[in-house]
Amino acid sequence: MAKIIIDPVNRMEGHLGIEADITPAESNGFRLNPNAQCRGNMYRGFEQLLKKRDPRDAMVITQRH
Amino acid sequence: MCIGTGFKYQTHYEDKLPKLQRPLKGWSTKALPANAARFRNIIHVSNHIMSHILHFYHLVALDYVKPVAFLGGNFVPLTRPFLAPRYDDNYYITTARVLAIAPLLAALHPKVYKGDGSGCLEGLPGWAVNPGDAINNYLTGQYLRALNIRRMCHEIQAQYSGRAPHNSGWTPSGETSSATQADINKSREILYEGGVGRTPADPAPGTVMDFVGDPSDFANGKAGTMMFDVVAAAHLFPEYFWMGNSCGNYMAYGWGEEAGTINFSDSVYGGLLFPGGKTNPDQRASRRGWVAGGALGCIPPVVVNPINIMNLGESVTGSLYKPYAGFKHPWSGVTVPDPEGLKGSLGYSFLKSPRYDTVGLHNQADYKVFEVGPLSRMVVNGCYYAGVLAVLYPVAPVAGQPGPDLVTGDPVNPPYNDGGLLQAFAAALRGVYANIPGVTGGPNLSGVAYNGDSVLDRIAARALECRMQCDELVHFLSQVEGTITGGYATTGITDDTVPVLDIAKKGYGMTEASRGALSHWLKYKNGKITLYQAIVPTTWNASPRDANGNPGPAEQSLMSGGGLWIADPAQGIECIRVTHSYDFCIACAVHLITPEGEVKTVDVPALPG
Repeated sequence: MAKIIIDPVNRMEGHLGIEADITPAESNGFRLNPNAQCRGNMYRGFEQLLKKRDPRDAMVITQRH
Repeated sequence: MCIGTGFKYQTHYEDKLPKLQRPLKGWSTKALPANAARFRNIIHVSNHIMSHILHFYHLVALDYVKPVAFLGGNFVPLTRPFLAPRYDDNYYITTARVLAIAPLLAALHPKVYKGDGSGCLEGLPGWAVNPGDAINNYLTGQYLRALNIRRMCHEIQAQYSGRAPHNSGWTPSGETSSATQADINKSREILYEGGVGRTPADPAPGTVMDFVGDPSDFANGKAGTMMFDVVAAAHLFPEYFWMGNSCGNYMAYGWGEEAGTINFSDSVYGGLLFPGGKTNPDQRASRRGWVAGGALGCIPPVVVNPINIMNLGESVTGSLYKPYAGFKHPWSGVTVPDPEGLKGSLGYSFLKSPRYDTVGLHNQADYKVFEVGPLSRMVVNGCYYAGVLAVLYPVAPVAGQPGPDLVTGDPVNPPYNDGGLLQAFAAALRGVYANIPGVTGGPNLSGVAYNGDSVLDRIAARALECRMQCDELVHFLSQVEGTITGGYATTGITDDTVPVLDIAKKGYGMTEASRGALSHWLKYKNGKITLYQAIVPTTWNASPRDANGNPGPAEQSLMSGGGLWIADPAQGIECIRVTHSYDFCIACAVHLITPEGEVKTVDVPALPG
């Protein structure tokens, strides 16, 4: 089965990928199948790195990215 | 030279601790001083205006515009990194597309195109040589102008936040800033006065409000504004009113506390929608609530349901995290990455799947998919719904009406907004699609109903909100001006308003980033964080399949209408347009350009926005 993969999607803040199988449309062109996926490809880690910090630091740290 | 580290520096800062104490008293019982909230509102809204302009011109527009310069009587493609088109020229604005639509515009919008050289588009440089590239050249100029307008928005913000980007004035339960009459005057000068004393209704050339423009600009033939450009894009690419339909459920957390009574009718667009006047029933500038639409469910009277924070839950079924069953509330959230261990499982994304339990009994099946963002905010506030564009433009899709058939130009489809216009668009665009190699005609959208949650709806709602937020900024500036005493407006922070940590508490913050509903959740003990979970707008919109097997909003957009139609799998620009209509923010990278123009990307860990 044919597949379309766009990874990463450009002009976006971050790294997202799109993947879907495709089938020929009824008359011309193609259609995405119902297995389309949006993938966030990067792990951020804020849940881990904020642990054991002063709660008042969070608003500053999570902004600086 | 570092040229970009992402864009989402503002809102993550403002929602964290400042609001924790307010609804939950988890942080402190001390109230946020009213004027601190007003200062924050100025910061928040000037950032949103900047971000909306950024999203339309600098992230979305290049899906439609081929950047060109008009030099020496010829159009020269721009090949700089980030500007060079990545797809076949025929996907962008072309002379064929313009001339296919132009006769329709001549009948509907004679001030835009008349066919005799006197419409506003016909006055563009190079029109006689190549009308398609004349528009591309005009919009390339708008792209560059927008950079400076964004700087001006930052300038307004920085007067109250210390600096922008990276607000430094925001503190837990407060805001460290003050304003003088000169500060307010400067903001107004940038926003609309232009140093010549103009008004919000008649902004001076070169000001922010002059650039954002008025919803009627297209009908009036007033080019050079964001509103004109958005409507022009919708006319040139009308098929996208039926492409990228989402889930029909809308979530907004609201923002703008202490905003006072916001009268939507004070804005030009709001005045058209609510001629009898409409004030916001919420205490916020923008309401908090959810609307379960489904097809056409958001048409007024919109039923806005209150949000119960305990009904939020996240699934990791489609994520690359250590598995758990069902949905977990963020206060009991677990975020343990396990990309290697989950190879071969259902997981495929580092985003979780936030969902909202619309019943409240915490049964797994009741956790529903919601879209967030400007469109959701506008729907929750009653300001946008399928068919609403008809109050602005003669050429607007009708709620529930199926889309055009570009394969055959089928003349039996129901009308667009009047007798036969849909067929006319379909027939005209059929020839445009035939220019794309391997394709005869475009998508057949005749089986897809217009539900008001398409690619163009997200773009239009964002632009209209941008316009309404300009009016709100005028309102907020006057509010702070009214508190100037002894030469200064202060935020009201004293020693008594500084929060004190309890031994152990939990808290949360909810607000609206420009791209949608944002919440952070934490628990702490003895002054240290023991749990931190962030549910950010992009995890709503770009979420993977959840424990119920339901795809996220963007995934649904890629599959709606029988599957997104694409002309050529090797190009796939249709997928990009659908994806960009949301304002995703996954994690940031630092882009480095060497003197030779080589682009290098260095990934840095970051928080999705």
